[in-house]
Amino acid sequence: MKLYLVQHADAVPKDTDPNRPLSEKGLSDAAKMAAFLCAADVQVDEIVHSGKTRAEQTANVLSKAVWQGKAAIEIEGLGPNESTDHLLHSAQIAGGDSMAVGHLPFMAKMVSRCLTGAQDGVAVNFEPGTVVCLERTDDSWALIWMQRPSMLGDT
Amino acid sequence: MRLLLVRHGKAEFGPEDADRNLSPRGRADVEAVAEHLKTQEISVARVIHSTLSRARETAEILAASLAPGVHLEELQGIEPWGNVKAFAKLAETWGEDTIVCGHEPFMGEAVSYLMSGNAHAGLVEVKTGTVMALARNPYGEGWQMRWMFTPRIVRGPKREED
Repeated sequence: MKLYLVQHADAVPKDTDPNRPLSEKGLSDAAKMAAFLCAADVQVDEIVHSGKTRAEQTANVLSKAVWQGKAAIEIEGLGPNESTDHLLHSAQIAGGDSMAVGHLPFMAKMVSRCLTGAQDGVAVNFEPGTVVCLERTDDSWALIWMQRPSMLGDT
Repeated sequence: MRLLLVRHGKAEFGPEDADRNLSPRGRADVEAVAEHLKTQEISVARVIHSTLSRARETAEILAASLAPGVHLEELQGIEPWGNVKAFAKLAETWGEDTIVCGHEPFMGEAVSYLMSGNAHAGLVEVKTGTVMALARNPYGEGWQMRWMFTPRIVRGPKREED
């Protein structure tokens, strides 16, 4: 069972647009990441997002590569400062591979919690648009790979 | 300073473990990873490998793309049974981007130790040909993972000839 944890791509500042949609860079980074996931043959059984515009937009761009372009599903409990309990619980019982698109610090805490049991046990360095792939075998999680837009060059 | 920790590519079987060479698939995997990193303009100042052939060969392939002309350095103590804490102490003293080619379980334990202080935390699954980039945590102790690739992720789905 794989879990892909994603920080939304770069978004415009609040004073430009209070809804904070993806910036031009964010759209381009999300598209580059989608191309990377497609080349790597990543497929998932579900994509969820936090409900914020920047997360939903990122999720829907990635869906084109990994979930046949289906509309990503908004769920509760993925907000930037929410508890990781809800997502961890869903991930522990999930039967298939899933992708969750959200925010910092939530995603960093979630990675650490899966790997060490503690939210601050370990640090992975996110930038907007980063994807972290974790795999669960029996009851333990391991990091398999992680990719960031700045490692995907210019297209 | 970035530390790029690499597990050697898939190796042939052989009577002498220290002399086993990369298999054709292992070479192709490492070449694909090297090419991918070169495309991203990754370069390093130092390339270090263990005393075993398969790690040296892996280092040679990576060095050809990412550090042309750099003299390869052999390091004892990073064999599969190497001393993770001694290695971590040594890496703390390095100032330049460095590739280190080694083995499992050493590399997985080294990453777990650098990131969490516990060599047996089992944080990463390190398949042959995997590259893991760590940098010092700017906000605290220890090291942070920045990115990590497997050959499978770089090369795409398994091909028939594999």
